Amino acid sequence: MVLYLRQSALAKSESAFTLAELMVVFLLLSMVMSGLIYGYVQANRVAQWSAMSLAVQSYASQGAEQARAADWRPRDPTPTSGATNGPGTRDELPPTIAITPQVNFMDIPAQGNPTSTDFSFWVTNQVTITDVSINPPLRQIYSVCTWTFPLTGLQFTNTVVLLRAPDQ
Amino acid sequence: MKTTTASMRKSSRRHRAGFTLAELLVSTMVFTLIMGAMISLQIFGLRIYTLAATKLLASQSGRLTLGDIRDKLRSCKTVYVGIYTNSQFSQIATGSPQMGNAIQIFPTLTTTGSNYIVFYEDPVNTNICMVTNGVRTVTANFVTNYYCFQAEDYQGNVLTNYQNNPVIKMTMSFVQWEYPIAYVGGNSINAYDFYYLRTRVTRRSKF
Repeated sequence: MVLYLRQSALAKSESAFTLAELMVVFLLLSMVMSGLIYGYVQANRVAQWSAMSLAVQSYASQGAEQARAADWRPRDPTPTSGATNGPGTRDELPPTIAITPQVNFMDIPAQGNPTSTDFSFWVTNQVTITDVSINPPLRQIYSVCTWTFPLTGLQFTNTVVLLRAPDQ
Repeated sequence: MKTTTASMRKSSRRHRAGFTLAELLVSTMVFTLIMGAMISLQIFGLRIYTLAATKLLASQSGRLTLGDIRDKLRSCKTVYVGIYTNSQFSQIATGSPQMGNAIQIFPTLTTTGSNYIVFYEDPVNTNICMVTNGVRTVTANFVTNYYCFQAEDYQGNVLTNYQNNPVIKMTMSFVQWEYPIAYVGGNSINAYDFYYLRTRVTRRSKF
């Protein structure tokens, strides 16, 4: 009786992974994991951009509302001082007056207190008044906010446009 | 005898098909690494979610209140800035800066009786409350600044007397966490010491 119990060298080599197989597995694993992490980071980044954009939009709206509060009553009699426009007159904010840009910080949660040298949370608002129509009188209040997204350094603008008629 | 030989060959094949201890250890280690990474990712994601939820929920009622006040201010006929204490609204006296913890809104031209709505900041409970027809309702929580309302002119200067065309500026400051489990940075106490909601509103019907 002869017994053949010797394990063949070929069968033994087939039972393990080759280096190439392992490298492919690690590559696939790395790609999947980096995709997941990138997804989390990107979601967080978009959420932060949305929060900042919302805060900036609110600031642009504030600039427009402020300009909307200026008196414009062209049918009123000319004041005794003779001035027809400017503060305290019947036309406080005509299109000819250049409005100084306002700089302020965004209403977003931030660690610490922003300083004037830290522009990550600051926004600049420029309001412009233009005549849309003389008769009937109609003006446009154009409020533009510029800001920089700190994670990319890109600049964005948010705009609010209002139309107003006199005597209201 | 053939049967015995075949049986032993089958046994040998079964032995070859199993895993060695080293293989089991390696696979267990790889499995542990993958599971550890997945769990870490999940925890990281939950932490980010909790952080965002904390930020949003802490000011959610404040945002809703600002929107409500904005709508009422735009459509009202008269608005006063003042102080609200002991269920009484007092308008800021002429000559003093028009800033206080309350505003009184008259939706119509009638300024007598209970034809008004008052929004005020309650410094004891740190709430924004609305009073209409004598009924008090809490509309926002965790608001800690007392002077929430001020009247400005179109240039942003605080008014010192009542004018027909004020810009009402509202500021709400939040310093309290709704969910204290959300740690931010190394120090969970007052992690955010700067947290405002602000807006400005102008009445649409001035005359």
